Amino acid sequence: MSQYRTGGKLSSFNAAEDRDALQNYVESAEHGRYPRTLLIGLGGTGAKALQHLRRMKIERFGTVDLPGVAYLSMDTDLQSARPEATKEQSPYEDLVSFDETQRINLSANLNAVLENMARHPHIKEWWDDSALDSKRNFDLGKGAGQIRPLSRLVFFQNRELIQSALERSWSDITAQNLDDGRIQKGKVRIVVVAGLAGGTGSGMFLDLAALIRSSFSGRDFELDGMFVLPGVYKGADTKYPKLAANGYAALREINHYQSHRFQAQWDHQASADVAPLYNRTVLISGTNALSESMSDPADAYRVIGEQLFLDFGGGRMKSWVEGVRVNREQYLTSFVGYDYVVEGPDGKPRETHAEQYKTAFVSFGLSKLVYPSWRLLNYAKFDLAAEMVRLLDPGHGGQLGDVITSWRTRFMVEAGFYQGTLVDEDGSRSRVYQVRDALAQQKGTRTSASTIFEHIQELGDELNALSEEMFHEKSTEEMAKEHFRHVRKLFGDPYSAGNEGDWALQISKNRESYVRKVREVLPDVVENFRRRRGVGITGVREILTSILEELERPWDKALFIDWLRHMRTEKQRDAEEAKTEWERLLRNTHQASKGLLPSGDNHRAALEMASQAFVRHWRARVTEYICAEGVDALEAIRRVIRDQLTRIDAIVAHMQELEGWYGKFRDHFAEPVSSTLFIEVPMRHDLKTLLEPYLGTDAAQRREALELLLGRALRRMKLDTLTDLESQLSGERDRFRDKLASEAFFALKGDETGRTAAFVNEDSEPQPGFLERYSLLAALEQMPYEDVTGLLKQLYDKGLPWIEPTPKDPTGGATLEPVADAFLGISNLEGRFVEQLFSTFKGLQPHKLPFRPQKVGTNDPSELVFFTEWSAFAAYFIGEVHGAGGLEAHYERLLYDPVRPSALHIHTDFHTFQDMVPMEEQEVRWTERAWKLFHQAQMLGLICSRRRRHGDDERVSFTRRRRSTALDVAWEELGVEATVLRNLSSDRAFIQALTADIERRIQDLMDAGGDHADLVCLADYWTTCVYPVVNISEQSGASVVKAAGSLENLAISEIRKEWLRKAAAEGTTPEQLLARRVQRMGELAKWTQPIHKASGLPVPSSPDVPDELRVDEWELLPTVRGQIEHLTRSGELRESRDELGRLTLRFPRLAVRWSAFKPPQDVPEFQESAQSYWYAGPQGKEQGLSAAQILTRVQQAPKARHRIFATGWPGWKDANELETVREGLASAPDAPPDDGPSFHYAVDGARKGQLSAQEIADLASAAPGSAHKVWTKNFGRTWKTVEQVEEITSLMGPPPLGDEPPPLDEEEPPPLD
Amino acid sequence: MLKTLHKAAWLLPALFFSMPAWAQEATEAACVEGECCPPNTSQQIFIGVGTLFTGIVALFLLPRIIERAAINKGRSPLSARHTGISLAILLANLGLVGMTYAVTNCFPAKLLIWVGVVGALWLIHGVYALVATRN
Repeated sequence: MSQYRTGGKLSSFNAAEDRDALQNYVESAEHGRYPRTLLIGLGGTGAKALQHLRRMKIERFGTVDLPGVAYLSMDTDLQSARPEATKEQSPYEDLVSFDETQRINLSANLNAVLENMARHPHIKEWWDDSALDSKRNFDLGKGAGQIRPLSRLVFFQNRELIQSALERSWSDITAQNLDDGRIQKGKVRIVVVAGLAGGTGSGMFLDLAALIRSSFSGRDFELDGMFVLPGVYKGADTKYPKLAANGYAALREINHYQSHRFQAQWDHQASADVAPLYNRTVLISGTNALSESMSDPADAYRVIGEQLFLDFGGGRMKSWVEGVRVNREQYLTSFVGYDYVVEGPDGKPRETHAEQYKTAFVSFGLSKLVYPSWRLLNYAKFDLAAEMVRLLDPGHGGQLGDVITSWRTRFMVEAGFYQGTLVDEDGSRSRVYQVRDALAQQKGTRTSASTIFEHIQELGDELNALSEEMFHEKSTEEMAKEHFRHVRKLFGDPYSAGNEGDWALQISKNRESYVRKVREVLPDVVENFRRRRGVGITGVREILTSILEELERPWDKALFIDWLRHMRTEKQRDAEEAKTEWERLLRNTHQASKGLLPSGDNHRAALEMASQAFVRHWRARVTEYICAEGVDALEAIRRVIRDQLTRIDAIVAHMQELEGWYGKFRDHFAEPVSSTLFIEVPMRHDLKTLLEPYLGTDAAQRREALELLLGRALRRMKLDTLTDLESQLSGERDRFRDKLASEAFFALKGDETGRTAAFVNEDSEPQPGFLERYSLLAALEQMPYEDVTGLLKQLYDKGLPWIEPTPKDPTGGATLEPVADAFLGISNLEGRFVEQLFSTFKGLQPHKLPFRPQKVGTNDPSELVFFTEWSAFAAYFIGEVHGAGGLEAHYERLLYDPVRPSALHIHTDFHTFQDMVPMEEQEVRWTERAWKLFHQAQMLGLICSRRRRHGDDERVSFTRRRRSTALDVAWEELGVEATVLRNLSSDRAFIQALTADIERRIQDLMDAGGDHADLVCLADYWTTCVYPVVNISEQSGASVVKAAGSLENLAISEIRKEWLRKAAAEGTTPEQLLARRVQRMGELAKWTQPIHKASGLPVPSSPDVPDELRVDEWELLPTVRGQIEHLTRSGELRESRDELGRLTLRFPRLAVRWSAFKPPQDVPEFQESAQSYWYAGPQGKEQGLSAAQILTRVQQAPKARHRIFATGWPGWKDANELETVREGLASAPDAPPDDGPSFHYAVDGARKGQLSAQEIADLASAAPGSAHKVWTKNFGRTWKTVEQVEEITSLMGPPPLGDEPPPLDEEEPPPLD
Repeated sequence: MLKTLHKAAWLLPALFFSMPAWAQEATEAACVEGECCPPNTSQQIFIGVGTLFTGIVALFLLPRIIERAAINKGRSPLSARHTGISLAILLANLGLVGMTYAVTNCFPAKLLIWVGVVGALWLIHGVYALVATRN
């Protein structure tokens, strides 16, 4: 008896036990900790969902970065890295965007692969040629265009890049210190978020999971997938049919790989063979359990982001949600399977199990009723941050005139380059020459003079001291001049390189060290002045600007550059004068020592006079040079000031930018969130007064509170100086911005108790934090209760899992009921109002749904969170899949489109994937019948295999040998196995014809000397070798081994049983049958042959199953293996080799070898007839078609070109020449003319004017050697060849046919050129 | 000439001693009333010593003072010094005349000789100074 049955733990689900287990998990959970998490967003959907999570983190934690959490977004659409690609992006959106390390922009050189497919066998193996069709110049930068195989191709080409990004992300999160109080020990959680409807996400999500599994093999992690189904986009996207078809294909694949291994060969070295792909597969559809629709795709991103965010939230809500995730995982391997009983070789019944439909899927719902405290908090946060920035720069926008007057001179004095009058605090005035004095410094000499001027004075004194000696020796002039020369040597020629004296060198050195010192000290002075009240950064900037102006002022107004230049000229003159004086006085002195009655005293006095001139001269000389160097020094100082100014300008600009940013951030939070899932209750507070409770209303009070906050913030950030600030702003500007905002955030939010002491002194009482001040419950209590009830109803309805269960159970009641969990998160679990709310909420539960909410504590008083989860359902449980407008309908329509079938799957052998929806009882019967007919037709040689595509010896399609007349046989192309079965399930005429053919062939066999015993022997082979029943271990429990068969096995068993019955009716006893089996199996190679149409063509085959895996032992198996080897040796069957090149045994499907039987006299054996035609039309080439079939194809595409050929004809003819076709077309109703769009047409460079697509197609087909080009305004400035224009190629049909007749070998196609 | 020398010889002590009584007596004895009596020996000594003293003191002071003044003014100290010497000689001459008159209440004829001698000395110095300060 065949039926659906359940298996796995879910079938023995006990709600009470399960609740206890969940409770225990929550009790033992580490609250407030989250697992190390790698979040991967695939495609646009993944990116947007993760961006919402990042947005949540900023809103709730003040920062997007959490330790132990890494992001990775990958997409072909370059725009999806940013949330608002089309609009001007706000800085806030910038913050939410992924940075370079978190983002992989996937690109690929498609042509390089597609044009050299022979060099990429690992891609050719799965690539579907119809995926890109004529779109070879596809622009990947805008996404994968909803083409799933293309997305997979991109994955293949970027596999190494993705793998290295995965490794990097893994290193990032595992490098985190596990002692961090927030990180949970244990497994790393990897979450892949993707949309199943588009191209990128749905084309890569399987390979990505396999890559993660193989890359992180041996590491401790769990892999969850969160996937958005097409229903989310139903109302928002005009391309919904394609999205729906993609979604179904993706769903079918992930469903298939829940019970099959995923194998991929990414390149010559990298491959994967893994199962399962995802530990949890979470699905979000566009309709929820209560048939509520998602009005906006953004809600899907939001709900995923919110759900992921729950992991990082504190409180028990997170533990409950995590508990559900952990505890329900055991049910995900449960299944609904198809069981049937067949007769084993020993004649005893065996229970066998066909396809399993795993309950591997999960869905959830999440809705919130919020008072916009977080939004307001973020609004206020950025407002406060902007105020702090303004405080950092109090001079900005203030009265700076006084600041400059008051502080400019003092600034220059502190910086060490002031020259002029200085008024001390006591009002006394003094002249200061800091530049000159600095340059006149003298160090390291043997004299005690600290300046050059003192040294000159010393030398003057030395000269005086020589007076007596000069007087006595009457050598005044000589000695004085000698002394002068000595001094001149000390000075040298400062303007002649290499001839400078010690003093000149000293002055130059002084200048360098002086400028260096000013440069060093200036930042400190700037810092010192910045801190002064009312100055700030802008004040310092103004001071510096004013100093620069001061340095430029003329010599009679200020003692700086121009003055020094002026002084230089003066000192040159002074020096000359003093020298003249010196010489004169020296002469006098000399005279004083000579002549009658000379006086030593007078000589000394004269010498003193001369020495004063001497000193004056040298002072003037030195001063002149100091002035020259002073100009250079001040020029250098001016540059230093300009540098400072530039630096401060940059800081000021950064600050202004920062203030602007904060303003924009703040504005982002001014508008309420528009979502039906996250309901904001009306706000009672004015945005402009949000900070008043913390800062006060009085300006001085505000300032004091802000200074307190800012001071603490900067200390925490270790930003004590402007230099620190500058390095932060220039190097890590965004970091500073975030940190400052974060300081504001936590100052407003308060600590764990909900109170904040950030705005008051340490000895003052903390204030209520923002969330405590603006709570949801307080707002609800203020509202009329009817309104509250309405809000709660919306909360319940929108919070249910985003899967609508199918109203129809195809398994006839065997489908397992998913586990339903529901939690209402509320910050305050006690109190009358809370009880009233909860009671109302529980009362909202519809009877038909199992979601009974449980009250759970949260830390957030601003919201009520309703979280529900439906765990462990099969893919077919999803209502969106079924019905006329369901995913399956769109999928079937596009995949099997007769004109242009879509490439929806990631593998060209998509028909081998397990069906996603179990067949209903009636369908099972139809399919079983289809299999039976298909099996019998193959065994009797009515259906043969052939190559599915040129050059591919692996894949087969099937062709039917059909008797077209009493004497003629024609070949009819049937397509791949799935297509044959589809037709055999639904095409009544086909079924009847094939049934009749089978009966006739069996009769032929009987007439030729065969009997049913032969057929039983053949069925034995098929049952045991082609479709064996094997033992497998259930994934849900390794100890459970069961027999896994298939519907194919069931069908062949039924055939065998029927033939056994007929054999018995013919009088064959069991003993005879046994003997016959032994005999016929021993000569299997003689009386059977592979089902291929011609020798050398591929034959479907099954691998030899090891004996230990077989359910039934069969003593004839070694004999059969020997016969198959014989067939291989004879060349009738292709050799089969494994990956290492070793010969392996595969059991081919075998048919009766008619030549081994005596043919009936009255029937010519399969004579080829002229009524079988070669055909070439828009869908490619076929052979063996009847005139009626050709008529069908012509009717399907009447505008296209249809050519036929038959044996004996001189060449190809138009299909219309067939009378059947002509008559058929004449009887068809007239269709409105449709020649397609029109184009400007040129052939071989000559323009021919505007023609219809059909006309151009005809012309192009008629003259294939010419260059046919077309243009329409959509092409821009480029003419395209007709082959590039789909509207024309679709009308052209196959390439033109030559005059040469086809070869007689019916396997090979006729020559095309 | 011998007499002149003789007189000069007794004049020399006058530079060092005040006029003793005995000397004054001798002079008075030689003088005819109503005429300008030449100084007696003691007076001569007194006049000579006084003149000499004046000259020496002036010679030691004036050149230096005037030289210092010139130095302070930046002028030639050598010229100033010779100017001082010149002035000192002149002053000595003036002192000779003055003391002679004080002693004799008249100007004896012999005084002219002595004034001439000092004047000659002044001239000689003047010539010397012109030569010495020429450069």
